Order: sequence, then C-alpha cells, then structure tokens
Amino acid sequence: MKTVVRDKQWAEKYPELGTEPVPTEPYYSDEHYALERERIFKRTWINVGRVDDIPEPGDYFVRDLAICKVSVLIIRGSDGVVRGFHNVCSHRGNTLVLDGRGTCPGSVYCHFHNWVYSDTGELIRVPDEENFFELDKRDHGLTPVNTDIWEGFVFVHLDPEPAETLRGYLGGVAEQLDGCPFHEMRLMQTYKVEERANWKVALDAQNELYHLPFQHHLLVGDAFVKNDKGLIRFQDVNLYNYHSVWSCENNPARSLPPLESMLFAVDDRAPIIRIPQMIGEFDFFVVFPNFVLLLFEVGNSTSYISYNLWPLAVDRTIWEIRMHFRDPGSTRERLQQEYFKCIIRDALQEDAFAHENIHAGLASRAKSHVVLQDEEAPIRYFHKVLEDHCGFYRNA
Amino acid sequence: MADAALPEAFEDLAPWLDWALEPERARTAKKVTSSMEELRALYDAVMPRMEEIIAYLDGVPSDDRPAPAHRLYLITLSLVEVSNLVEIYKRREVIEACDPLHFDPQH
Repeated sequence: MKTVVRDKQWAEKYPELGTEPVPTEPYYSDEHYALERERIFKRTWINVGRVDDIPEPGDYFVRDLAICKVSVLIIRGSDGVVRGFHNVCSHRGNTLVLDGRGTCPGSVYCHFHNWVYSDTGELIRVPDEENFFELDKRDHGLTPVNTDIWEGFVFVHLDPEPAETLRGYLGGVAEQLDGCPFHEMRLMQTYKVEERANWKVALDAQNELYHLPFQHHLLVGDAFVKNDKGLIRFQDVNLYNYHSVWSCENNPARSLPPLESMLFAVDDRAPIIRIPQMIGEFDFFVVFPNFVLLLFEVGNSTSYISYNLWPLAVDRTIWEIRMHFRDPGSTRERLQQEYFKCIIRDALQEDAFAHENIHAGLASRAKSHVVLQDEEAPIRYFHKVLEDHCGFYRNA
Repeated sequence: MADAALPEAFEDLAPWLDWALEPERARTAKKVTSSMEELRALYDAVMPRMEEIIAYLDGVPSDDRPAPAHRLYLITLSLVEVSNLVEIYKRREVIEACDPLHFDPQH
C-alpha cells in the first residue's frame, strides 16, 4: 500500500495553502460571476470536446459557452484540420449552425440569406453578391476562435491573443498525462445534468473524498483505502500551476456485492492494461476552471470519465459527464463496464441531489465561510486559483 | 421461419422479455416505474443464469448478434441496471438521490 494514513499531511506538503476558512460569497454573488466571465472563461483555455467527436472531414459540433454568451463551432475541415470559429454569420450576425453536431458536405450555410462558408471558414458564396457594395468575400470569413488540441482534447480560448499556449497553460497536467492512451478509450455514454447550483458547488463537491463514507455509504463508501476510523486518506495530492490532482488506492478489503463479485471474478489469463501515467488507482485531475479528468481501473483495464461544468447562470449549471471505456474484448468485460457505468452514475445521482441542497444553503447567506479539513485541500487550492484570477477580494 | 424470442437455452426467461430494452434511458424508465417485487423477480430469475448467459453471448459476434441473442444481452443490461437497488439499497426509493431520469443520456 502506498497510502500513508496520516492526518494533516497535505497542509505539511503545501503550507502556502494555509488553513483558513474559505468565503462563500463566490458561490452566489452576481458580481463574482461577472468576474468569472471576464477573467476566467474569456481568458483561459476551455475544453469543449474531443477530436473523436468529429473524426471525419466536415464533422462539426457546436458548444455554447453560455457564461460568455458565445457559441463556438468546432469543425474538421476537408484538409483534416480541426478549427474553431464563432458560430456567427458574417452578414447580419445570425447564429450559423443551429444543431449541436453533425456533418456538413464541405460547407455550411446560414439559414437567413444562404451565405455559404467552406469547412475551413472562408466565405465562398453570397446570393445576389453583385448588389452589395465592394464586398470582398476574403474579408468576411468566419471569425476564428483560438483552438488547440492536447492528447485529443479540444480546447478553445476566447481571447484573440491568449496569454499562454495551451501546452503552457496545462503545465504539469500535460507533463503527467502526456502519452496517456485516451484515444484507445471510446465514449460510451454522455449525461447532461442540469442543476440549480453554482458550477463551483458541483465541482467542489466532487473534489474530495471526505464525503464518500457518509453521502455514498451504501454505494461506494468502502471503495478506497481508509484509516482505522473508517475515513479515506488520499495517496497523494499534487498541485500544478492552476490545476490539481488527488489520487487514492482501491480498498483491497472491500466486500463486493454479488453481481460485481460474479462479473469481476479474477481471470488470470487476461492481460492487465494499466496506464503508466496514473499516480494512484483513482486519479481526479481538475483542469482549471471547469474540466475534470477522472482515471480509474475497471477489472483488468483502465477507463476515464470527464466532467465539464458549464455555468448557465450564477445558480444554474449543466454538469456534463462523459464515460469512456476500452473496446470490450468479451461479454464479461462489456458487462463489467456497464456495471461500473451504472454504479458511478447512481453515486453521481446522490451527488446531484446534494449539489442543489448545498447551493441553497450557501445562497441563504447563513454562513460567510466554509471550513475545510486537510483532505479537502484540493478545494482550498481551487479557490486560491479562483481568487488569483478574479481578484474579488484583492480589489475589494 | 419466425425468430424465436430468445435463444433456445434461455426460452424460460421469456417472462422477462419486457426488460429487453434499449437505449439505457428505457431501462432506467422501466426501473423507476417497477415495484421492488418486480425488480427482485427479474434479479432472481436472471442472476443465477449469468455465467451461462455470458458463455453463450461470447459465442455470438458482439457486433452482429441475432435478434434473440441481442434480446438476451439487453436483459443482462437490465439486470445490471436494477442490481444496485436489489443488492445494495434493498429498497425501491433512493431517498437521497436525484430522479434517475434527470440524468439524461445523450447517446
């Protein structure tokens, strides 16, 4: 066992995080939400999907960044290159592509006056062009959005001149996970969960395991290594330039329910496929601000789940959950995946229930601060990075 | 010749054909509208057959299952769908969780 079952070890590892309570106002303040729009979502790299979402030339998807009031069109051009554009027609500003995803036959057109754009963003046809005044189509292509890709994950940056490259922004996360075979894992299921909660409530609630033996005591409360009081201890916590990861080990003494026991009966012949980039057996990477990569082991293989927390308003969020598994080599493996999908989904339904109640409590303003213990250090770090960007208190 | 509903060795599972549902949301919807007794009846009928079912399905190409084998496969997915309620929660209502249908599967 790699886990050191010890109290207050993360404050020792990261003394600069301090131990003070964390203010609650950022969870419900309209003013803070406006700062998040201007200083975070318009100024950092935001994950919008994967290259696997648009494998063929002409494939596209649209991502609404509601907090920024921006719709982004991500399209794979006939040259194979993935590009991002504002999803806005150059003529009268109509929203160009109305469906969320699809394939275009080499071009997209606006439903208003049939202006046609190539799948690489150039304006190629204007009905009644002669009746415009010195219209040069070369000046009226789609407005590009900075788009870059890391390990198949597509990110956009709404600032026309990003302060950092995607690679520089990801920093230690990219160094840790470079070469991780995400591309070998297929998207099995996406859930979109609309919640009446601030996006940070949903993220923070997931960003610790202190709650697991309580809130999820029936389903997964026993999943990870604990101390002698039955409380989970992380194997490790790592903080990067803006991001973080906590890691833990599976509890080898967990008693399995009958179906899980039957499905996961050890098959010594099956090759074990492990991802060397993993730190523990369950790694929870938070890529600031709103993207999570959760790597975990299923039977003899490794899988991952991603979360995108999409703010719709200060008190409304879409929690997008995407579950990825390797192509199953057998019926048993396929059912193991289904089992994990269902048990994680059901645990997340317990979380979703809690998120709205937590938000209601915070928004009531009964408490000016929340208190965090040592195993909640990743939340403390997230709020430090949040304030570093927003300066809500710095400028107060 | 008309399709048999299920592979011959599993014809006794015919009472559970109304659980041969896809996609996931259809199985979840049936779960949330079934009584605990109905969930347990499905579980008790299918769970003891799982090793046998897995062995059978492994002999059928997974990307081109004949309809009877596919129905059998979907019944096993329904078993997985209800197993948490039967084995772990042991009750029909999970009080402290959101409505399962609020998790909207997109694919």
